[in-house]
Amino acid sequence: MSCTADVIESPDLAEKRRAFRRFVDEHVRPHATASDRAGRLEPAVVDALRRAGYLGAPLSKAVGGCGMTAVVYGLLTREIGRACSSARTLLTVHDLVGLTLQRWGSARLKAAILPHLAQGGALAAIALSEEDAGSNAAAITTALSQSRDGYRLNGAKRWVSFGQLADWFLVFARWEGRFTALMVPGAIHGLLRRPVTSMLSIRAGMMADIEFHDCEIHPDWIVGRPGFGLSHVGATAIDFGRYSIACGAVGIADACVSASISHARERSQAGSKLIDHQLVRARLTRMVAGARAAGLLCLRAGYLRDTAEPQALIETMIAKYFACGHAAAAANDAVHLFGARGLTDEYPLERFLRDAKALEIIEGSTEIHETTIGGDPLLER
Amino acid sequence: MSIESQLTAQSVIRTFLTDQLGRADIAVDDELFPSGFLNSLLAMQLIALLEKSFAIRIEDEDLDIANFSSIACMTNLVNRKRAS
Repeated sequence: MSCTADVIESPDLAEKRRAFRRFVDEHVRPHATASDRAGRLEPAVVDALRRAGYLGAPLSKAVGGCGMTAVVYGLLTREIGRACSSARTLLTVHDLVGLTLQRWGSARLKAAILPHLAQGGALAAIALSEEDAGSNAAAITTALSQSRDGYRLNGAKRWVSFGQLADWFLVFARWEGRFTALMVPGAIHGLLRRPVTSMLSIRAGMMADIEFHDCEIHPDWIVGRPGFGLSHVGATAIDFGRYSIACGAVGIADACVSASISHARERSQAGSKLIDHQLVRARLTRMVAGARAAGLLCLRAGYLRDTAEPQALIETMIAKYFACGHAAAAANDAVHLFGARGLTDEYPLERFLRDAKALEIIEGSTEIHETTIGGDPLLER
Repeated sequence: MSIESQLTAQSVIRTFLTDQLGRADIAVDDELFPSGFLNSLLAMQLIALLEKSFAIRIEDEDLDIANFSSIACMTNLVNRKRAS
């Protein structure tokens, strides 16, 4: 693979993508609407993802993962996102914790946890946001403290996707003023999960607010050196999350394009097909061109990630920014083209619209991306 | 470590920082992060640059502000990693 163009044309990748699509059609799509309505990802979906080796797939083979490349992982995430953003979210949060631990964890911590995450036997989630710390993560107040009887964690986290289900949490806290990341077991005494059930988006994402009441922490659970918890550990996690979400957003856009074209070809009003209206064609053109462009930006970001280029970070942000903005626009267009049907949950379009909205907010809002990308010193190259 | 490779490391890091920080006057011993706090995007790009350019792996235990606080410090880190 010498350039992005080769990646697009590779028969091997095309075959992998077909296999991912078959898997999703069989194991994910049939449960998507029911999961959304129930506010809980069907256990059969989690099991299928685990059995297929897709939970923890990007972790290295040395710890029991598949060593899946970013490009291939992007296609997997895209195909899952095409059917169910809640299932895609499970992959995103589980894998971002696994990869961050693989990158910055101590040998002992990695040996203890990674094999379980790589097999999907244990599930992981990230606990970063707080009531007063959203876009500004540096405002976190959750605190790790040391006393004669060991280390204690106190604080409250909000909006933890799959917080109802996770066996391990990657938590960000302050320790003597230094930002510190640590792995915390979900079963620890003093950890309280409060399910969040009122979300507009990603309703089967099993979100929880998490409270830590004097939780006893083993010093081995600290990830990375204290002081580097946000700038390096957190940044690694969010960077991977952005890539995964960008690819999932392309999946939403793909699904909206596909459904809209079929509908426009079949639906007749006042004696003519929708597709014969120029205004409908213009809308379809914007949808399909944007989806193609978003897909290419993700492939480009994936390729740069696989080759470990320093510009992979900013290119991932560009892909996330564009793909999520376009997914929201395409879902809005799809609902519009379907008319009243688009507003019902008999079709997945209203779910795509609700889910796409969240993608413009999480892992860095549209505005955070605009202020960072627009000010990047290397942009003119 | 030869003087030549020492200069190469310095030059790669300096070129990157000059572009990133928009300053052409960075001396090898200049304190780059006087607040002790790194912008996370720049921090991660620096790690990727050092790993990619010098075929090294920055590990958990290398995360010390003293390893990144100047071009000279980063050059020393690179040289230590390449020697080991």
